[in-house]
Amino acid sequence: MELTAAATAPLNGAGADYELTVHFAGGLVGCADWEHFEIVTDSELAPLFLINCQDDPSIGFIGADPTVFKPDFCLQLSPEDEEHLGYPEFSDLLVLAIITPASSLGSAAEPTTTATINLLGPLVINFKRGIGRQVIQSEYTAHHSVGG
Amino acid sequence: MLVLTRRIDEGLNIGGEISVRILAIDGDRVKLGVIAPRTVSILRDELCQQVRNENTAAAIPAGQRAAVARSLKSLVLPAAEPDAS
Repeated sequence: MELTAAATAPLNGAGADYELTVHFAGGLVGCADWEHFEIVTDSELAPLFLINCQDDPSIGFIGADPTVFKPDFCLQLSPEDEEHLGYPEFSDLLVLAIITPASSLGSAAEPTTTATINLLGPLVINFKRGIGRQVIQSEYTAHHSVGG
Repeated sequence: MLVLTRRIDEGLNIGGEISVRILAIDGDRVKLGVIAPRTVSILRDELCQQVRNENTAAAIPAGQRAAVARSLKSLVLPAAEPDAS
């Protein structure tokens, strides 16, 4: 399955608050304990999402649809990915790549000047079923530059 | 970790459903063939390691998350946004 368009279908337009609980069976890659997440956004945050781990509240991420930063990003799901995601239709999917802010995170009041987005391991979410999987997209980098 | 030595054309059977075979050896490179069910993911180790490392590096403490997101958004806005269509 190959996807080339932005998958922000769950957002119902400006002003929408969005909250979704997602189960990643087996956790994230290399992080088996992080299985249950709450995906949150609102008109203030969009197109960014907060990805909050319910198994460990100290763990969480900021993410965005990869096409926001790389418009030609093309997601390719293997048959195995499709099976784990419940054989979704394209319209069932929310794709979020995790953003790594610059290490100058000392004070939340200071604006981050550089960040990267992980296109190698995006989170693919079947929001209709509340299941997700971190998939590997080997042709992309884990450190795609954002802003700055 | 199980450590063993195999020659070319010799292989391993893992869990009854996964088999690994040494297909060729050329200098410091070994060509492996893997047969596994569709449900089993097979990935180059270094890719998994990169993603794992990035997951860990990207984690933001709960108290800072929303504030960092707001400040990051100022970086996002100048970037091209997808068409509403």
